[in-house]
Amino acid sequence: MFQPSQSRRGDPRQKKCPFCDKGTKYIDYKDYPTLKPYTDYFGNIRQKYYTGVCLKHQKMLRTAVQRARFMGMLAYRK
Amino acid sequence: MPPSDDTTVTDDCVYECCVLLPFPLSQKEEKDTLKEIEGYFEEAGAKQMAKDVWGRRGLAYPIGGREEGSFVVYHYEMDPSKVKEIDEQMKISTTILRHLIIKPPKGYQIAKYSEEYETWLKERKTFSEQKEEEKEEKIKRKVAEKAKRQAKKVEEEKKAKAPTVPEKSAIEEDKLSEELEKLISDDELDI
Repeated sequence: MFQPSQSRRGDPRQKKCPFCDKGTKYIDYKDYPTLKPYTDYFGNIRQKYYTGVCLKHQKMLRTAVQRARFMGMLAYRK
Repeated sequence: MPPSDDTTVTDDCVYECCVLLPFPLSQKEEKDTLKEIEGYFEEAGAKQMAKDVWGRRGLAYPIGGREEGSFVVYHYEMDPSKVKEIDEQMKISTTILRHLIIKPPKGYQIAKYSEEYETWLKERKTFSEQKEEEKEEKIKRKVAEKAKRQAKKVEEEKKAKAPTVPEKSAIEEDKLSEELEKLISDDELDI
């Protein structure tokens, strides 16, 4: 029997950058709700391979997360 | 074109300054520190554009032995050459835990994140509640399906077993008993 593949992982190349869709030009370090999902349980920044963020926005995200970490909003390491 | 003497005003850039203060501060101390910080900027001839007091917030890691702090975000328009002075003065002051002065990019619109965070917290609560409800519904559905399946199975088993097994067994028992009686009644058998 052929079943629709619910458990099968999607093609990572088909992911679209969520920041490009919104047309964001700058990611703010004070914007905790948007930064939080891009860090994993241990406080590391999620790789763009898994999140689908483009390189341009990944770099913005990195600076934002680093600033947020310095100000104590995000954790360096859990 | 304006004369070159008036260009000092146009040269100013917008700067964003985020300050982290320890949370359990008495009101007097907090006022004094805020006045102190604003004093630094006033000395440099900066023009305040916006002030956003976030208030109490939990920290991701302890800073200066404190688990909680309060953030204040300022937006100032000032001369770029005086940023360094303010930065050094802030480093020296003892009450400030952390501070960050950055230059926002062109076309940056000042947003109040203190309100956004609170709304996000509320939304998040509702979101988590929704998730929990969905989970419970899923579990309920699963349980109901299981119960249905089990009921079906039991019925099928009953249907399969109930009509056939007892009749067969009854007939077989009768047959067996008859045969046995025959065997016993036969006198030819000598054991």
